[in-house]
Amino acid sequence: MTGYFKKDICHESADSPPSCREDFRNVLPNELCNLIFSELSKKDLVTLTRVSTSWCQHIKSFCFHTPTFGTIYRQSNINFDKWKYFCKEARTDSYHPNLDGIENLDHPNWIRLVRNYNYEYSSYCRIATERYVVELFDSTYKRTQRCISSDDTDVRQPIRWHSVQVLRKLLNGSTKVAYIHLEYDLLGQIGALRPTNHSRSSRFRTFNELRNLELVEVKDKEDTVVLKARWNFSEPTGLFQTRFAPYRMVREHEQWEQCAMVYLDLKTKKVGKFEALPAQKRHRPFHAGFGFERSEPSWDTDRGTRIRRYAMPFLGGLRFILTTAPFDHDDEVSGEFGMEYTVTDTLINGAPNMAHNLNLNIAETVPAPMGKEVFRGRLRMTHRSWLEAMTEDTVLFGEKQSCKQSDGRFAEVVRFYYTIKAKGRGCRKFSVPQAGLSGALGLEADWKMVEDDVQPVVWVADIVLTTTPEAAIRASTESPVSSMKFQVFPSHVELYPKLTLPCQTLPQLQQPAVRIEYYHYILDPIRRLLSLGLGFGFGPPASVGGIGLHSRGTTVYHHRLDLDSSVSSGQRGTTFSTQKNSDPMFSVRKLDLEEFKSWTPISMQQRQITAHTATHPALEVKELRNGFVSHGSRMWNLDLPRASNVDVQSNS
Amino acid sequence: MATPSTQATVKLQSNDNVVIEVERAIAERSVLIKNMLEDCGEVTDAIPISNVNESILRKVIEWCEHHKNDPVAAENENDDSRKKTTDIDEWDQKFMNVDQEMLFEIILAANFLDIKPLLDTGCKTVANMIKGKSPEEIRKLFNIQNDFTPEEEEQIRRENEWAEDR
Repeated sequence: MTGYFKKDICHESADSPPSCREDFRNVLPNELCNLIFSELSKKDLVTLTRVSTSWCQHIKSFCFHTPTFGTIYRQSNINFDKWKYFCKEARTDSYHPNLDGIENLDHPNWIRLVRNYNYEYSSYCRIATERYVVELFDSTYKRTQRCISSDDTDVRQPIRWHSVQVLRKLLNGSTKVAYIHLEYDLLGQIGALRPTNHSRSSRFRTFNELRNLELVEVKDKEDTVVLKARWNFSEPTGLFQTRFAPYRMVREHEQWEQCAMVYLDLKTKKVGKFEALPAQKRHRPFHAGFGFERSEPSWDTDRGTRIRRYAMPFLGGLRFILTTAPFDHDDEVSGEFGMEYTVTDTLINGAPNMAHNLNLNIAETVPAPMGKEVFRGRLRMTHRSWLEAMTEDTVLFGEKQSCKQSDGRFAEVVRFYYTIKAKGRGCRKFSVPQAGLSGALGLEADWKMVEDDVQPVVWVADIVLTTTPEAAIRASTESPVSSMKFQVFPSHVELYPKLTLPCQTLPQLQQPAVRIEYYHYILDPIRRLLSLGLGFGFGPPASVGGIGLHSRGTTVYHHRLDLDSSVSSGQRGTTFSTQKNSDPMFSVRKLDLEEFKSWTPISMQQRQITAHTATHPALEVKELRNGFVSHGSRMWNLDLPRASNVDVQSNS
Repeated sequence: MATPSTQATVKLQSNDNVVIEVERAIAERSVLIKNMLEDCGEVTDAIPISNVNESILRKVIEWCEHHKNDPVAAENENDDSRKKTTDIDEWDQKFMNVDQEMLFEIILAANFLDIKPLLDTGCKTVANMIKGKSPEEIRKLFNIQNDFTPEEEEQIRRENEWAEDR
């Protein structure tokens, strides 16, 4: 440096004399101070509030007025502890995975990315983006469901849930309405109420619109956010008005105070990663949430079989269709059968909106001309009953997570579950304490053993869409610019061995109840994505224990949990604790980079055979093909025995 | 507006009345000076830079000299792009390796002279000094008195608990 000043004093040195150190807030005007603060993370800002009282005031003032924060608040009429919200944001922000340099083991964020942290998104505006349990209650009824968004925008995120039983109060006797699908837009203040396929009441269809939906209160308690919403109905036929005189439609421009209103308390409870997984009814991972906007069965004349199509929403309006279809080569030598899954661009149906596809060109390994198939894979099955179940009662659920990288890129994971409706054989039974619902809700006062339509998940796949910088692609290829990587990571097949647990004795039945629990243990999509990216193989680490199997031809990964006497509370299972040190997979205590490096896929013989020469090296598209899965620049030989002892039904 | 001038150098006068002659292209890194020259055309007198003393002015000129060939950011450039690049150029890091008093004066001068890249660099430098430090370290760094009572400290610690890893 050819400076004019010979002395070279490091401004960062706190050892310099106090005269050289000065609170810049006394020197710089507020706007410049704010400019400095804007360079800091939320976590740093939270730290700064502890410096001094004046700093505390300044920082809080800054935090509440910075454009990146408070958008939600400014647009809503909700009054709650903003600072607490900001602090939570600070914490969750620090867990946003940064996928930059994912192969660099020295990545400073890595430890934080993989640790088992029960990170919580307790602010109401994130309810729709992350996993939550939503409880609807009106003091007598409580129903818990998991809630998954199908939209990504922060501002307009519909919340969907089923069984809004509290509305029975309004119907006053219309007890036939069993399932109601309610969705509303938090800030758009619009909602739609419609019966689901399960609804048996035609009456309910007569009023199907919620008006002026409004969140009126948010109470942020420890681990819980309580929301109170209110709305009114509109109905096309007038039936609602005549039958339920106390309520009427909200007139245009009418104030809430001027009309009858309905309150609904929504109690949302955060669900940590693993807290969500145990097979408790309220925490079951595989039932309630769905990320797919719609699914439709159809008949494939070419194959002569029934197929299902699921729309997969991604960021930026990207839409792909996941099609599942059974295949059965019984007459062939291989005798293979199972499920074939295909991912296609929505433009295959000539969707008018082609904008999203302009920058999308999947690599040669998974050719994706506009509107064509982009990926095809097969899940080999070992039990024909699975196949039968798939053709009859397959249910696919999806959940979506996205992680933002520091440069603004996104990696987005849509995970879908293939489950089986085993018609009682694979379903859980649990007691429904309906006795407590009598009276106001007019429900039956009997205890009932209800067969929950929860099915064990038998297959999981993560479909990952990653945006990549265009510049990088341009530099290395001459092909049309591609900004996306589209990858499918079929996951392990999960098994839910039944475990009979003592349950509350039902006095009416005069017999002990038997509760059957299934267990579920998977990596959450983001962490799995990261572990895949690091090339440590598929599935959970060997330290989890259990038997891993592999089905040749795909990367289906079987992982059966050993539910023996050694399984205790706080490990895998119903009471799986979210305590740091009780997580067998990613406990803080165990979290050690060296250990993580030593993880090996369970029972998976790996052999690095060759460098993968992708046709399109810059894109590094993963490809699954006949027992080999190319994994970045490496290729793993997954030639392992097919699954043999994974059978849901045999355990049921 | 006056017709564009072709003069090669301009004189800048610091607030302690020191006149420094610099290349016009270098001086025009400052939007303030650039606009002034565009408005006034040929300027033979020294341009008074009233808020900046000689030492800081020379420092700023040094920065402008080094960055004279940098592309000028578009006026309507999104602020987000600025924030995304958190790294500071190595030369700039050395340039900013001065005592705090000068650092803050450079920031003020950059703000006054409307040199956005220098202002950003200065702010990022201060931000980097803060990042990851504990409150006590920050107090020590900026010579700030902890005026919290123990009760207040406890309260704010509780308030901030939500941001802590649990």
